[in-house]
Amino acid sequence: MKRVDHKEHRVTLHFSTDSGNEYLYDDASGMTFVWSDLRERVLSALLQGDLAKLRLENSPFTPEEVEREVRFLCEWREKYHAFTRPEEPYPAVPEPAELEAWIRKEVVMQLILVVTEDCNLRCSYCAYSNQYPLNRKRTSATMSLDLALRSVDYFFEFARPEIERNPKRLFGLTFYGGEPLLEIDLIDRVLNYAEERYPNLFIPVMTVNGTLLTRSVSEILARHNVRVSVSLDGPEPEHDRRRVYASGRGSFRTVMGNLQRLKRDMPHFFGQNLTAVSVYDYATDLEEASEFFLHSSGQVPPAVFVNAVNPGNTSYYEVFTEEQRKEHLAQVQRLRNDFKHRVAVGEEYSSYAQSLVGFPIASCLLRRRLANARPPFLPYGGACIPGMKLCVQADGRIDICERVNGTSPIGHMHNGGVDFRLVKQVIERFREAVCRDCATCPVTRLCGACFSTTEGEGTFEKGLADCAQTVAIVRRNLSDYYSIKELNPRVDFAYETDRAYLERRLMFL
Amino acid sequence: MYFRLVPDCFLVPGDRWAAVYDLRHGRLFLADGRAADLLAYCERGEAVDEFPPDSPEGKLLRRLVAEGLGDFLPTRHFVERLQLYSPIRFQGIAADAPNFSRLSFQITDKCGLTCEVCGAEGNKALWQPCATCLMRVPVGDRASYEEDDLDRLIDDLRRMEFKTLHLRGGNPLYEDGLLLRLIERVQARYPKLNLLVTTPGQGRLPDFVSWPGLRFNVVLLGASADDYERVGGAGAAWEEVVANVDTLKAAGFAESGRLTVTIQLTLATRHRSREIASFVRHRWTIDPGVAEAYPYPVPGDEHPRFSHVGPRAKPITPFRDVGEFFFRAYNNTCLHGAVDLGLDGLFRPCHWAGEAFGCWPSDTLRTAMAKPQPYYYWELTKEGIEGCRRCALRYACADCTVAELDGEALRGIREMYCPLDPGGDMNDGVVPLVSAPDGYVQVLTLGNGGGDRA
Repeated sequence: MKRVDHKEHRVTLHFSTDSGNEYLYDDASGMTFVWSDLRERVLSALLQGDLAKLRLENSPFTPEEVEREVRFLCEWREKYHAFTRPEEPYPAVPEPAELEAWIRKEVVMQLILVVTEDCNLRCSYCAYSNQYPLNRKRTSATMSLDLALRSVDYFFEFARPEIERNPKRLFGLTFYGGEPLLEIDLIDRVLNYAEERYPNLFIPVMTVNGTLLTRSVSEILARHNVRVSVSLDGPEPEHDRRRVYASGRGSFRTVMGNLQRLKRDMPHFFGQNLTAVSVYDYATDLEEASEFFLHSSGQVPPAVFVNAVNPGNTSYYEVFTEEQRKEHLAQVQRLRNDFKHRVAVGEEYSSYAQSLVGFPIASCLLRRRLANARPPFLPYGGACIPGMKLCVQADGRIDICERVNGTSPIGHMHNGGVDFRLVKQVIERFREAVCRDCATCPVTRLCGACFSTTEGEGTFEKGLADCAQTVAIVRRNLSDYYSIKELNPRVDFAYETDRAYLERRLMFL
Repeated sequence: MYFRLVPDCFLVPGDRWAAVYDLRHGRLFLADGRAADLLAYCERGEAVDEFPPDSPEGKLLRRLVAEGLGDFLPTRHFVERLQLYSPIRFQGIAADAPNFSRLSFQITDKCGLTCEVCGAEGNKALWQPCATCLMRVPVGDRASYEEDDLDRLIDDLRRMEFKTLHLRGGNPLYEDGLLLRLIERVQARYPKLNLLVTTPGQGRLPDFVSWPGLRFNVVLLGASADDYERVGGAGAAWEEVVANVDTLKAAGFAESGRLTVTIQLTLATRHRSREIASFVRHRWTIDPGVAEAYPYPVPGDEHPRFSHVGPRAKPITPFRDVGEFFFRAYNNTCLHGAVDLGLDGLFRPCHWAGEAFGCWPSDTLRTAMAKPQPYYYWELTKEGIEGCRRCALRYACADCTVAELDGEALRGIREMYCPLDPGGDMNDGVVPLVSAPDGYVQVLTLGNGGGDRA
C-alpha cells in the first residue's frame, strides 16, 4: 500500500440515509461503499501509513475484522485506484489546429440559431430583461434569412468530419429567441432548406412561450417534426404571476387554449413532440405546481425541466423575504420526501416532481464513468467543450451556448466562423478560474459547473462557497437515492435516466 | 443481520443455478439450486438471522465473507453494483459514434477443398468457425466490383475509421487478381487499414507480401496429406499449403505477428490435435489457434447440425479486465463493430446472419451502416438469445453469439447446439462440461433441492 504523500488527496464523501446507515462515496473510483467506524479507521490508517498502530491499539474490533477490512480496502486501492487522487498539473490545452480537428470530428453536436431577440411577453424573470445587467436585452433585432441559411451551410461544413465518420449521426437544430415563433416564416424556410440540402441530418428543436401556437404555426411545426418545449410554470395564478404580456395580462389562458386545441386536433404531435419547461422562485407554491402537472397529466405536456430563476448576476431575489426563502426550502424538502415515498412504494408522481427533485436524485447514477471520460486538459466539472454547440446570435456572433451572456464569444459568422484561438483562450480562462482546486474535490463526477454557471463579464468565477454548495447538494442527492433504494432496491432509475428520459432532456439543454 | 455481495460481485441467475462473477479477483462461483436461492434471497435485502453460523447456509455465507465476496451487515443497506465501467449510453444527438472495427468481404466462393463442415448443401447449419469465416456456398447473382467501386469502399472504410478489412472466401488466394487490386488500393488510399486474408492456404500468394498492413490467417486441416484427404477431400493440397506458409514464414510474417494459423479440428482429426499443433510450432514457430466443429445428429433429419462445442465441453473465457465483463454484458461479442459484405453483394451482420440490410451497389458501406439494423445486432446480447438467457454462464461463455441466436425470432439465423442444459442438474451436468483454467470456476453447493425460497 502506497502512503499518500502531499500530492495525493483523499476524495471521498460521507453520507447517511434516512435510516441512519452510513455510506462513503468515492470520487476516485466513482463507487459508493457501505461504511462503518471500523472501515473509516482502517482507511485513515492505511492512507496515513500507520496501520501497525491500528493493529496494536486497544479497539473493540477483533484482529480478524481489521484484517478483512485491510484486505478489502487494499484491493480497492490496487484494482480500482480508490479513495485518493493525485494532484497533477493539467496537460496543456491543445493548439487551435489540434482543437479544431478534434472538435469537428468528435465533439460538435448542435446548431442554435437565435432567430429573434424580440418577444411578445414581458416575463418578470426573463434572462433578457433588466434583471440581468450582463445579458443582452430584448430588442427588435432578428436574424436575416441569409445569415440563417449560411449558418446551416457553415455548420454542415464544420461538422463534416463527424458526419463522414458516423453515418447515423444526427444534430440538433435549435431555434431560440426571444420568442422564436415570432419568426415562424424564417424558421419554415430554414427547415425546408435544411431538409432539402441535408436530409435526415437535423432534429429541429425549440422552446416557445406557447402563446403563438396557432393552428397554422402548429401545422408547420408538425410538418417539420419539431420537438417543442412550452414554457408553463404551473396553475394559472402561478403562471400569470410572471408570464405576462406587455399590458400585464397573464398568458396562461392563451397557452392552455392552444394546448387543448393541439391535443384535440393533432394528438400525435401533442403526445410525441411536446414537453413543458417550468421556472420557479421563492414565491412559487411548488406543491401546487406539482399537483397541477399530476392532475393535468395528458392535458398538458410533461415537464422535463423545472429550474429556479437564474440566481447569477441578478438582483431578482432581493425582493423576497427570509421567511419566503425558508418556506420555499421547506416546500422543496416536503416535495422530496413525498417523491421518495411515492417512488419507493410505486405510487404515481408528477412530471414536475420528477424533474424538480427526481432527476437530481437520479443524477447520482449519471456520475461520469470511466468510459465517458472527459478530455485530459479539462478533466473535471460539467462544462461542455466550446464548439459542441454553435450558438449563432441574430447579428452573427457565435457563442458557446444559448445560456451564456455573450461576453466570451468564440467567433463570428461575418468573420470566418469559429475562431479556435478564442476557443483555446476560453478553455484556459475557465480552467484557471474554475478548475484550480478540482483535483481535491470529492464530487467531480457529479459537478455541473460550466461556462454559463460561472461567467461574469468576460470572466469566469467560482468561489469555494459554490463548491461547498455543490458538495452539499451531491450529499443530499446521494442520501435520498440510497434512502429510496434501501426501501425498495428494485426501483429502476437507471433505465429512465440512461435512456429515454435523458434523451428528452438533452434535447433542451 | 443481513448478507450482501460486495459491489464488484454480480449474481447472474440461470434457470436452476446461478453464478457469482467476482470481478475483482477474476473468479467464477457456480451456485447450485439452493445456494442460488439463498443468494437471491440475500440480495433482495432479506434478513439472514434464521441461519445459524453452523447451519449449511450460515457456513456458505461465511465462506463467501472469507473469500472477500460478501459482508454481513447489521441493518438493511443498499449495495450498488460496480457501474463505473459501464458507459452511460446517450441517444439521439448525444449518441457516441459507432466504433467500427471490421468489414468481412467475401471475394470468392472458389475453393479446392470439400470439407464437410464448410457449407455442404443441406446441412442443418453451415459451419464456418469464427476465426476463419470460410464460406463456399454457391451464390446466385454475384456483385462485381469496378475500380471505382473498390475505391468507394476503401474511402468509406477510411472515413468511418474501420480498423480491419477481412478478405474471406472460399479461398481468396484463388482470386488473386482482385486480391492484388485491393491491396494496391488500400495501400494508396488507407494505408493504416489492416488487411487480413483468411485462407486454407492453397493458391497463389500475392506479390505485395512485403506490405506491413497485410496479414494472413491460414486455416489448417491437419498436418499430413492423409488429414487433408480425409477432411478436405484433397490430399494433394497439403504440399501446396506447406509451401505457401513456408514462403510467408521466410518473408518474416511469423516474426512480425502477421501470420496466424488456425487448426480446424473435426471428428476425423480431433485425436491428432496435439500432433498437429506441435507440427505448426516446430515448423513455423507459431502458436496455433484451434477451432472445432462437431456434427450432432438431428432426429428425423439425415443431415447433422454442427457445433464448435464438443459433447463434453463448454468453453469458458476469463475476463481480461473488468471492462470486458461489461462489454460482454452490453454487446454481442461476435458482431459488435463488424459487418459482412457477401459475394452476393449483400450487407449482413455476419455471414451467419441471414438478415441483409443493404445491397451493393445501390447501397454503399456508408448508406448500409446508416440504417438501424446492424446496431440492433451489435447490442443483441445473450440476454436476447433463448437458451443463453437461461444460463448462468452466459457472460463467461465463449461460444459464438451469432450462431446461438434464436432461429425463430431472427430470420435466417441458424440455431446451434449447446451441450449445456441451463435447467439441468449442476453437479451432474454442468461442472464436468465447463472448460476453464484451473481454479477459475468454483462451486457453491447446498444440494439441489432448489426452489424452496424462490
